[in-house]
Formats: sequence, structure tokens, C-alpha cells
Amino acid sequence: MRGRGFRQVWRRLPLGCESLPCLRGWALGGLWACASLFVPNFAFAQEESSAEAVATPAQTADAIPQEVLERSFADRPTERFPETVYESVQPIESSSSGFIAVPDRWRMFYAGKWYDPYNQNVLKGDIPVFGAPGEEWFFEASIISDSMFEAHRIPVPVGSASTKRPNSNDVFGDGDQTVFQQNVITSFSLIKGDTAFKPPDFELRVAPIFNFNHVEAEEDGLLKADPTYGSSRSDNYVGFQELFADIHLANLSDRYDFVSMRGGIQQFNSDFRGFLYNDNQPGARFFGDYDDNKTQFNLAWFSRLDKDVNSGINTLFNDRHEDVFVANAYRQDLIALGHTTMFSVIHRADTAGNQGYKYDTNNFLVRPTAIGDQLPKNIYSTYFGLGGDGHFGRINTTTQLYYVMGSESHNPIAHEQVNINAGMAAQEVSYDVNWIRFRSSVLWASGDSDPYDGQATGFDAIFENPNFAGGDLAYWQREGLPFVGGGGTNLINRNSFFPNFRPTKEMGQSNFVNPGLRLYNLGVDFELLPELKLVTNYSYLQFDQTATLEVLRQDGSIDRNIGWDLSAGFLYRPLLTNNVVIRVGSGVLIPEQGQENLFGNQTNYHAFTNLILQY
Amino acid sequence: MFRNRFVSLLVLTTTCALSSCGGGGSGSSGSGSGGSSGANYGCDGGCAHQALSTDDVRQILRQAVTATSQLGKAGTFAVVDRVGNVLALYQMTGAPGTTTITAQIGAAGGLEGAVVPSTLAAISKAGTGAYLSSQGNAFSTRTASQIIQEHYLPGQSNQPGGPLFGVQFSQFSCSDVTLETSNSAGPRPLPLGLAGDPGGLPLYKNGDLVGAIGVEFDGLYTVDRGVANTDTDDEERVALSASVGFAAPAERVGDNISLDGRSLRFAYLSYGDVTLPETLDEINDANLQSVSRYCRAEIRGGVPFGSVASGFADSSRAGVPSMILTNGGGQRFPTRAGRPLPGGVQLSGADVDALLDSALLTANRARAAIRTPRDTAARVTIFVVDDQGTPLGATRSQDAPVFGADVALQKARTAALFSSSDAGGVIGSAPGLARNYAGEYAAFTGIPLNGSYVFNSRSVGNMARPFLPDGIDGTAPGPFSLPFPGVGVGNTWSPFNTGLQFDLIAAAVLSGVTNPGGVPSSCASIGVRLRNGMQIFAGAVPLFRGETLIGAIGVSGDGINQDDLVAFYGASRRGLDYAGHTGSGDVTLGFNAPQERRADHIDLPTPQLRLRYSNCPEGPFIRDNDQNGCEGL
Repeated sequence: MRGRGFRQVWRRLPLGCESLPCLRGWALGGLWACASLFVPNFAFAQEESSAEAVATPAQTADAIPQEVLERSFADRPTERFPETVYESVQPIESSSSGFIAVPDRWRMFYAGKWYDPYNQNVLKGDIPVFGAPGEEWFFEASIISDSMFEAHRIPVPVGSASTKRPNSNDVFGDGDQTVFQQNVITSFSLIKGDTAFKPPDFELRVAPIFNFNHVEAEEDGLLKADPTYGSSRSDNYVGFQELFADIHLANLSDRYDFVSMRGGIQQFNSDFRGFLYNDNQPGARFFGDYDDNKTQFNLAWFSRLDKDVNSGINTLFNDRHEDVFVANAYRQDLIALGHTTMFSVIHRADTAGNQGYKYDTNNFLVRPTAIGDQLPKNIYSTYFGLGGDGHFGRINTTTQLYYVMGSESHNPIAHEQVNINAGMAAQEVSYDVNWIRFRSSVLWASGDSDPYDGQATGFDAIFENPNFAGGDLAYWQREGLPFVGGGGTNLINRNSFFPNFRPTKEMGQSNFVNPGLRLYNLGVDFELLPELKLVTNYSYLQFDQTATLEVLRQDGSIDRNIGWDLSAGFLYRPLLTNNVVIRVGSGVLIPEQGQENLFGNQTNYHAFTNLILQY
Repeated sequence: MFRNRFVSLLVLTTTCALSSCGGGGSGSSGSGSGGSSGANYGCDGGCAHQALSTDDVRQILRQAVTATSQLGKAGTFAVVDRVGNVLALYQMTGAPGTTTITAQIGAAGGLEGAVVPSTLAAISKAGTGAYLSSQGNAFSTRTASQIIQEHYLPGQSNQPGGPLFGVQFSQFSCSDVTLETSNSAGPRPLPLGLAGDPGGLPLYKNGDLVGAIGVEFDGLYTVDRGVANTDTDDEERVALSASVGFAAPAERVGDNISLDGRSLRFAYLSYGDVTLPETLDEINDANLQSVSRYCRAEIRGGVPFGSVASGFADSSRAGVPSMILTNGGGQRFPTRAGRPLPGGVQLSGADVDALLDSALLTANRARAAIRTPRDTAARVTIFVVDDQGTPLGATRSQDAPVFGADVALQKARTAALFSSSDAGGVIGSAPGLARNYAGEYAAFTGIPLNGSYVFNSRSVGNMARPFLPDGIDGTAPGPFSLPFPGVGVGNTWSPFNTGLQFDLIAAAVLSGVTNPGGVPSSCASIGVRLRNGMQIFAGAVPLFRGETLIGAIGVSGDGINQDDLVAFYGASRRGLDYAGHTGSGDVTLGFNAPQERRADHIDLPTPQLRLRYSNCPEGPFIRDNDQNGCEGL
């Protein structure tokens, strides 16, 4: 997000846009509108600084040797630091010993323009913006534009009350759709402490996110409950990706082992690959490390916000009525050198069942799920996790095991309170041969073989965002599949592979009476060029147990075999940095018997392109 | 408009006379003679049919009386057999004599607010438990309530209407399907139609459906408006107690059956919630009631289903088991030709048989939506009518639920009438309509109701919902319906006031309630074209030869999409060929309507709205991956 290196300095940071409405105005107008707000202040700051420079010449330009202000690197044009610079210490007189005196260590390097994140830049926290010596405050700003266009085919029903076309004689309709998502994520941090050498003492971060989304479908009644809305939908949303304060509580050693507390909306990933909980949610997290950073730990509580269903962004600020409690620890070099092992206990209390019916903005029922008897439910589940990530010699590996226990106060498929007793296991092993990486992954998420036995043995996560066995390149992980004919819900959701009958991952509740999954994957990644990577995946998918599918579809012969999920994608970074990233990917799901039982013998596909620009 | 007249009549009318006739008063006490609670026998339509004995009926009554007394209340109970014979009608001393019909949604008009005898309510509730159930599914009045309201599930917003929306207005004594004769052949009429008021449960012996119990004492004949809770209903509690020993097999109850992924509701209480004392209260035979046309004041045994005496006799057709309707002796609705039409076209007897064969074989392949075990065949009743609604033939799958007999004919007649060139005139001439429905149709579509476009019962149903599009709250009603309370005022929609459907039969229904002994010649005020009333959910298609409407085929008994499949696919070239009738019907369409004249081809003035025609189910056929069985038909 921020470039390393050299920055330019202003006497004061032109924070013309600290307030939220102003920031919102920024993004709505786009980057250049932002700049137009920004530049006049900048100009003003420059003028003001110049005036001060005249008033106090001895402290600034006159005191700094010309060779400091006008250093020239062999491969770069001469760039000049502003004459008015931040003064933390008086500059050292130049000596005859060949050393060049600089006023502070933030100006030892090359100064860049304000839009240049790769040189010393006050907008990237490279140079303090205020504060006494030793008490410096830094400012960091970033902006990311993430544009995604996707075409896909998913099984969809024709409208029940009205159809787009005549002769729609069967339940399944035309599932071709296109999706455009534009996210602009802005981030502003105020940081106390030198971030280059030690953890910051204090940080305030605000990261508003602005979304525009557009979907074109081929059937009515899919995008809004009212079929007369049609088959095209545009929507937008603004929320906070991050909004937190981080307090450095103490250093535990002279190597900066530390403990910190972070409160507010913050990103947290429960494990190496996002199997269980990977979200940005308000909470309080006590974290730190010791033993030379070989051990890291988190103690956290998150009180989740509900999300906007079309953008996936946190609402401002509707309670999801779900609390997540996390205790975890990572230990480096455990089992083998270069292998980090993680232990975690995560508890979730979802009490949305006390809140009555919840509809999303498209007027679809999302809580309780429109399956089974649809009585409301609360969920209390505790996960015990053991994970590993690293390498054994030349073999890279990632492992994750979860066991979950607890209860659902009333499972709609089971029609009763159920005891949760489920698990998942996943492992990826890879081996690099020159510029080619060979990968093999397996995942098992337990399924429920008898919905009516009072035991819920289907594994489900809290808010997963898995990056495994192809991640969002793979059809089964990327796409949400409506459970046509089985209720007003989805079989799986976007960015997930657990078939759990949630209506949306964003708003629906977990469900531990589900079919579970078996995933077998082979992948090969090719580093074709330093800038270009090709990722390929070949996966075979099975339901672990089909009983729940048979109950909901009132069909006694649904096969376990889902089919082949084949995908390939290019990752192109033309500048060899993350400032410009282009992803292009495509996948198909070739049905086997089980999917044909559910959705027919059509081969479903997706193809997407993703442009990420970052400052 | 009916309400005031109706209420004043009903509160003054007592139709049940006390009588002291009947069998002996000393029944056994305690444990049941039927199946144990919820036991499973694996019956899926093939088990031998049983019947309730008089001792069984007596025990059921004693259990009902005991359970009601435990609550400190007095009630009215009806026990019926599977074809609706009232085996006993019992009113405890002090029981409320009347009950008020209301959906409790602030609606007015139709049956809303009517005060009716508790005895009639009890019969309808018992009849519902019996008529909707089979060896493969056990449904209750609570199940009925779940599937007849403006949303499925009731209480949820923006969900389409119940799949059996409108089915409550069937099974009346004015129907030419129900029998009022004094013998035991059914189906017998239900005075208030099918009931959605909890307190009607089916009764089973050894896995076979043998009847049902209906309980009424709380003074409200209503529906369960919300499924977000599990309210305890005393009538349901008593019905559960009464059915101890005759409980539905646990694997067959609606809870284990998913309709579009939503499980149906059998009862909110379970047998674990009811306890009966060691010694049951005795019943007083003096409290047995008689109702003209329905029952004498006696306890009688039931008649085994499938026997000629029951009115549903086992038979076979097209090489598969079937049933014929009988009047206790001869076959009812034997195959015959339709009326000759200009140009010499008509449905011949051979055409009718081809259609019945094709539809029955389609049902036999179709995966049942409402039966367990899963992957068993749909079981339905099939009627073919000519363009005037005259029945030309009927057949049934064995063990198909009884309610489908009347409903299949209603649906067929609805499809035939609304597809006729004179439909607008016929409907417009009906007396006592709350709205100018034909005019509303013309305003809605921009074209008159004159047969230029043709309708199946699903299309008609689309326009007979209180919201249009179906289920979208706050919208105006369809042209054949009434505004939802709050959207409109005055005469407003409720499950007891469905608009055109009810208006057409209002006079006959009221007459049947106030004077059950009378015999209305037709349910609908427009005469024989809708002789047993109109039906407004899917399962019938009009039949064509070329551009000429020659009749309709109606199907009822399984899920609506399955009913639609059996009718639409059965009438299609594909279905007829499968049944070996390769020479019947058009070479491409079979007997189906020309595509461009079907209701889903109407370009409505309302953008993005289109009426539905047929909608066949996902995975229509058993163990067949084809998801699009009706594509191109």
C-alpha cells in the first residue's frame, strides 16, 4: 500500500479533508476531484510556509547546506526538498570530513513529488507532519481502485410470478449474467512513532470504501423480489473498511516484542487461508508477540456489523447480532524450521434469531433462511483450530484443522435444537521446480448424514474468505449457486466453498446441517515472466453427505459427485509492483451425476478480469 | 355485502338436532387399538386399506372429550373416514354452538365475520385432515393454512402466494363430484370447504389413512397467520390427544416433506406434549349430533378406501394401477366424447382415453413433491372436460389424496371457461360480483377476455391474487382478486374472500351452510361451465385441435408444478407418444394450445410483467437428470 523510500516534506500537512463528508465527496468525485480539493490547500500551505521561511531564514534554508537540498543521484534528475522543512532538530553543520549534515533522518533520502509513493513522501508516512522531536506524528494516505468485470453462468430459476420470456415452461432459466464491481478504498492513517524501526505508539486509521455495482441477468425476479424490477440492477454503497485506533501498550523486550490494543473496525483473519473468519468488523483486539517475534498472539472480540448485500460492504451501522471471540497463538519454527504453527479457539454467538425477519435491500428474506421450517435460530459454536504454514525443506505446506462444537437453538432443516459436532481438514502441499510450482490440495468439510438425529455434523464457518485450491479462480469458490427448487437460498455463496444453504454469506446465518464437501485439487503455477504468472487448477468435488440435499429437494437420489472444477488465470504486474495489477481468469464446472441431479447437465463457466490500481 | 345477510341468517339457524340414537356407551379405555403414536409401517400407497371401527371412533371421541375436559373446556368433534363419511359428530355439553370465520387480518366481505355452527366447522376440519392426506403424506388443517395464504410462508413479505392458493373453496355440497347420497360412497361434501384452522388431523391404522378428527371449540374458524412461531393451539392439542393410537406415521407427516425447500407443518405440538389419563372420560351418546346431508346422530364405522363402496375403486389403466370414481356401484365419469364443435372438431372418446392414459403415465413417472418416501411417484386425480366443462372422463392414481377429485375438475373447468371466446360475457353476467372482473381483466391486459389468448389454471391464478405480481406486498390486486386489507378498504381479500372465485360460489356456499339439506344444482352462479366452482392454482391446461378450444384437462393431488407437469406434459406430443398414443392430437402440440395464444405471450401494458403458463418442476421425473422436461412443449 505504501511505497518504500524517499519523500517530500511540507511544513504542515494540508488536511483539508479530515471530515467524513468531505472524504465521501472525494471518492464520489474520484481521484482527481480529491486532488482538486487537496491542491489549493497545498498551495496555501506552500505560500504560508514561504512567508514563514522569510521570517525565520536562519532555521531553514540558510541553515541547510545546498548539497543536502540538491543532491543528485546518478540515475535520477535533481530533486529539491522544499525550503521549508519539518524541523525536528537543528541541522548539523557540515564538516570537512566528507559527511553531509542533514536536519533529520527522514531527509537522508530522495524527495519525491506528492504523487510519488516511492520516494520520501509526507503522504506515505515517510516524514513527520507534526510533533516535537521524539514525538513525531506521521500521516499515510492510500487509495485503491479495484474494478472487476465478470461474466458467468449459474443455475437460476425463471421467475415464479412472472417470467422475462414466454415459453418458460421449466424451472431452470437462462443463467448467463454479467457483473461489474467498482470499489474505491481510501485509507488515511495518523501514526505516532517511527514505523520503520519499531511498532508505532499510536495509530488512527479511517478507510472509507465506495462501491458501485451493476448486474445484468437474463431472468426476472433474481435481482429483486419484485419481478417487475427487471433483470438489470445498479447499486452503490459507502462504508468503512477500517476505522480504528491502535495503542501500543508496551514493549516487552529491547527487540520490540510488544503488546498492543486495537479498537474499531479492523481486518482479522482467523487462519492462514481464511477458512473460518476473514472480515473487517468492529471489535477490540489485544495482540502482540514475544520471544523475538517467534510467538504471536491475539485475543479479540468482534461484534459484527450487518453487510449490504449487493456490495458486501459493512453497513453504517446495523448490528448483525453476532459476536466472535478469538484467542490464538502462532509459533514460528514449530515442528520444523520455517514452519509456523497456529493454535486457536474461536467462539461465535449469533443471536440474530431474536430479531425477527430480516430482508436484504432486494427484499429477499435472509434471516431466518428460507428453507425448512424457517423458525428463527441462535447459534453458539466454538471452534478449535490447529494450523500450519511453511515449508519442510523444499516442500511448502499449509494445513488447517478445525473442530466445532456448540448448538443451534433451532435448525430449520432438523426442526429442532441441534448439537453441533463437525470438522474440517485442509492441506496444501507444493513443490517448486525452477519457475514452476506444483500444488496439491485436499479439503474435507464434514457433512450431515441424518438431518433429523439432533446432531448437526455439517461444517460451516463464520465468515470465510478462503484462498485455497485456486481461490476465487475456481468456479465453486467464486460463484454463488442458487439452490433452485430447494428453497429461497443458495447452495454455496461467492468466495466460499462450504455448501451451507446460506441465502448470502454476507447476511445469512451459519447452518451446520449441510452436505459438507470433499475437494481434491491439483494445481500448477507458472512464473512465465517476472511480471506474469499463470495459475492453473484441476479440482474434483464431492458432497460429503447428500441427505440434506435430498430433504430440501424432496429427491431421494442425489449423487455425491459434483464434478470437475477447472480454472486458469493470469496475474500480470506490469510494473513489478502492486500499483498496477491485472488479473484475468476463467473456470468451468463440468457436472457429474450429483450436480446433474440438482441443476442439470449444463456446463457452467465464469470469466473475469480485474484491474487494481493502487497509490 | 354478503356479510350482514349471512351473519344474521347463521346466528339464528341451528342445523344440528340433538338425538339419542347410537351405539352402546361403554367403550374400552386407555390404550389405542390402532397404530402406536407415530410408528412407521413403510406404507407408500401399496398397503391394504383399513377402516375405523365403531370402537375406534368411540375411543377417539373419548380421548377428545378427556383432553378437552383437562383444559376445562367443552368442544365439538367430528370423526370422518378417508372419503368424508362422518362417523361421529359429538358436541360436549356446554360447547360453543357457533364459531366465527375470520382470518383476523381486518378483511371484510365473503365469509369474513360469518358465524357458523361449530358442528360444520368440525366436519370441515376433519375432512381437511382426511382429504389432503394419503399413505404417503399426512397433512393437517395447519398444513392447509400454510399453503393457501397470500404468502408462502404466511407472515413473510414479498413471497409468492401459497401453492394451493384457493383450494379452501372446494369440496362443497353443490359440487357434482361430492356425493350426497345416503350410501357410503365419497367424496362427501365439506360444508365450509377445506379448513385452515388448526385442530384437524388425519388418523392412521397400520400405516393406512383411515380418516381424520376435527376439533372446534375456541369460537374462531381461522388460519395460522404466521410461521415464525410455534403457537400452541388448544384445538390442535385436543386433536393430537384424540388421535393417540391412530397417529400419522412419523415419516409421513408434513414436517418431513419439503415444498420448494420449505418443510410443511403438521402440528406445532407433538405427541410428547399431550398426556391422557389412565382412565378416559365416558362419552354421552345423547351428545351425538346429526346434520342433514352429513350425518345421523350415531357412531358408525368407516369404509375402507379403494373399495367400490368408498366411491374410489381400485382399477388399472394403461397398464398401471389406477382408480375409478364410483357411486357405490357403477363407474362415475366414464369416458365419453365432448360436444361437437363447428368444423366437426371435438374430443372423441379415444382422445379422452389417450389423454387420461398419457397423464396417468406422466404422473407415474413424476417425482412426487408431497409424498414420502422420496422418489415415489406423484399420485393425482385427472379430469378431462369439453369446452363447456362437461366431464368426459376421469382417472386417479391409487392412494392419491381425495381432495384432488373435486379440485382437478374445478381446474379443468376454469381452464376451459377462461380460454373460451365467451368467457368475458359469461363472467360479466354473473350476479353479485364485488368487482367488474372481466372489465378489470380488459383494463389489465388491454384486450377483452374473449379467447384470443388462452389460460391454464396457473395463468388465471396469477390474476386471482391480492397482489400483482404475486406476493409483492402493497401492490394492487390482480383483476380477479380483491385488494389486501390496508391496500384497499371495504370488501377486501382474505382466505375467506378470494374475489371472483368466491363471488361465483357465494350463494351456493351460504345456502349449503344455512340449509345443508338443500341441494344447489351448481356451485357457481354462472351455471354448469363452473358447476363445482372455480380454481385458481396450477394444474390444468386447455385442450386444442388446431385453433379450436375443445376442452381442458385438470390435475390435482401433488405439488402444483407436478400437477402442471401431468396436465401439460400429459397433453403434449411427448406425453402422448410416451403413452403409445402416437396418432392422437396434433403432430407437434398434441392437444396443447398454440404457443402464441398462451397467456404468457400477452404483452401486458405493465412493463416487465408476464403471466405464467405452465411451469414443470425441477428434476420432474424419478431418477432422471433431465431438468427441463417441458422445454419446447
